[in-house]
Amino acid sequence: MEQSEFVQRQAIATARIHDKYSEDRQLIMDAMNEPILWSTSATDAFNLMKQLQSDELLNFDYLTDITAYDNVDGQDGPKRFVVVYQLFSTKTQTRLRIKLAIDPMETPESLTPLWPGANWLEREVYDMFGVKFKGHPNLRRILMDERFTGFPLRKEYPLKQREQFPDNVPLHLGSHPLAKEERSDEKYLHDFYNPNVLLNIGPAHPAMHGTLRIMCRLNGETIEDAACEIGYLHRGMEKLGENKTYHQWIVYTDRMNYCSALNNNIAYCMTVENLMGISITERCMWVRMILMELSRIIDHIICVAINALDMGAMTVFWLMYYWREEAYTMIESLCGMRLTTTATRVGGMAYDLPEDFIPRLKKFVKEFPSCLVEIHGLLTGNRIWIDRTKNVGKLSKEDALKFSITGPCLRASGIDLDLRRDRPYYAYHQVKFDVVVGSHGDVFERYLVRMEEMRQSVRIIEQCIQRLPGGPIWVDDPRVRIPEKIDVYTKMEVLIHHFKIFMEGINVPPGELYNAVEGPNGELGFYILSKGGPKAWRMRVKAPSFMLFQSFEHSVVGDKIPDAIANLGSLNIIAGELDR
Amino acid sequence: MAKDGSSMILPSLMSEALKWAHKNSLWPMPFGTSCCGIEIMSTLSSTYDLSRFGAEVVRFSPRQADLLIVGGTITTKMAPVLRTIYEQILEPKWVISMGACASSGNGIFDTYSVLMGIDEIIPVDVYVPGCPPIPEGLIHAILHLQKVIDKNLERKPAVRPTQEDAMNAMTYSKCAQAKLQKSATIVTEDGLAQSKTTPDWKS
Repeated sequence: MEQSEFVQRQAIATARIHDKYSEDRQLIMDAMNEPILWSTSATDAFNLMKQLQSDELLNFDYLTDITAYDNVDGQDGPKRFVVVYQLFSTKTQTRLRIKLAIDPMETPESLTPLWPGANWLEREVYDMFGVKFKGHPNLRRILMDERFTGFPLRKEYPLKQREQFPDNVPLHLGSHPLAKEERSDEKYLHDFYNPNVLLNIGPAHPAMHGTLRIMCRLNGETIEDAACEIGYLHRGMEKLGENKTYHQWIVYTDRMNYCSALNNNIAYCMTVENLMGISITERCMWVRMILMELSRIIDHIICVAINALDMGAMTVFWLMYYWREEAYTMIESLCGMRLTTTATRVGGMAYDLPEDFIPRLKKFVKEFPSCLVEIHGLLTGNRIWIDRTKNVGKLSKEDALKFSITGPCLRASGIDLDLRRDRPYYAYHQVKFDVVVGSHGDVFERYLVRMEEMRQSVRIIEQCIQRLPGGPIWVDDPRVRIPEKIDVYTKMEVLIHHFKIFMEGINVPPGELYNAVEGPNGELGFYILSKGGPKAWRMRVKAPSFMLFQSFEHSVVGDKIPDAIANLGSLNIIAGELDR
Repeated sequence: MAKDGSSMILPSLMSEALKWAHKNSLWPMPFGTSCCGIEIMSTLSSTYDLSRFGAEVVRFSPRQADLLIVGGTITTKMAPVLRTIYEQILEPKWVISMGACASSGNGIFDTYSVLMGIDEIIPVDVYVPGCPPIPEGLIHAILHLQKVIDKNLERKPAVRPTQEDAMNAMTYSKCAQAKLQKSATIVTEDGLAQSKTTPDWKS
């Protein structure tokens, strides 16, 4: 889709919102000209979203995100918190942000009747801000320990105030910790024929990728009820985003999805650039596209390889990791680090591509597809692999929308949605690629979608190499341009400029923006609310893994335990971005 | 021969053999929570191939492992789990703290939910710097651990500078001078302790 066509679509949607929904509500525009609608009361917000969901023209059927920010300075009215709902329409590919100002004692209605996927998002808002939602089925803390006191993202909460607990969160099934007599170890575990055996998997389990934890109730080997406990890697990234300057925060984006750090770097810098109204240079744009597709390949490699490894197919792991190392070596030559790249800066890149990068990349894209052929030969027709993955962890089209899952898993469920094509950023509308769509949404199709996406990424990289223009990598904007080192050492004004950028930070004008890219795992979005100055007022990361893991709780019910392992591997949940 | 006439050859040979066996067949349990976990995988995989040093038998059960590689940020929520796992490993056991997060909380993650280094809850043998360390770094740590096992080196707890120390270091107070004098005692190669003269920072 051309960008102009998309702008037109957005204008039509905005006009419709303006005509139909903004009679007594305030409609404003954000930095990227996307509509924000202020709802008048807690019940009004719920009714509004119910109407928007069933509006045949707008069709806001996809809940992207629920978050909140602290309005302690009173810029958005007298109420203490503002709850922000991000809606998206899979039909028109437009966005709408709905805001609701509330006091700490007020309880907005829970959106779980409309979108079951709102469950975890609302729990996170409760965990971080203490906002309670009326009618929520299970309003408990989600990232922090149940025994934690205080709400970390409130402005008055000190950044470094820790609380430590002597033991792990006890076994529970969803709503609340089980009473001691209900717990498996005393009553159920030794009773082989009991249909209520409770099983805890994780957080330190090899198939749980380090920090995930699932607790399930088993009948025989069938999982009848499952609950996930997350937050074992919650590092307070969003709080740090409010305490660090925009440049300092780039390093944190590396450590969110560490399998494809470049993608996070670029998505974040893109958001800040859009907020400041900077358009980067042509070369920078194409370089960033190459890097994004390269990181998509290495992310998919790790997902497929580890998924196969979890199911015992070790050869795939050895074969694919060779190519991952090749990509790492290239990335290392670009920025000096293998995983945590920090390759981008606001307005440009830390370094331009090294001289031998493009020849190596050419060699990579030429030889890498042979690896895919090899893996297809090993897995796709393999009887064991098909038995283990087909019809396992199914998510239907409707469920996928309800739980707002994103990325390859959404496409495997049969929904044709790819932000690279539908909301084009950079030059994605100028390159040719196919969006891969499945139909069943089982583990096998997710694997196939990922395999084909790697091939498409190779295709995009080939086109990018052909069209890569010369010219500067840095935008010529004195607000963000980091001066050349040689000038810093020789010229006084440049030294002062350099000092100001690094000691004070770049000054971002007041405004807000939600900007998302199609990451390897799905929609990776950054919601930045700036009130001027070098630090953000609210830095929200919309991580794809969060919604994927929530859907896992539901897709795993009815499967066997080994199927749960296969299912989890296929979702590609990265703990760093799940817990942030 | 010992004084009572019994032979000490066999026991000493046994302990040497045990040491040799221990150091060349470390069975690691990777406790990789974040980025370092990916680098642990890289270290184990084809290019770096940790099995060259006898440490490729990855055991995810602490009861079968003897080397705990902690890689990644340990949060306050995760800390009790790590402590339990360490306690479940049978003696003799060693711990490698991989990466800046596990070693010190990484500095950049100084927030309300992160533990400032795993040595607050479990003892550590080898620290690996880096964020994350490259696979060569982890291999180096394992080679160093083999030396530690070979030479029976004592495990020393890490000494962190206190807030007071840091302040003193900045202001060069009398206390800091005294500490500097004390720490100026160095050990030469022939094993003799030698006192160095006080550094003259006034000039």
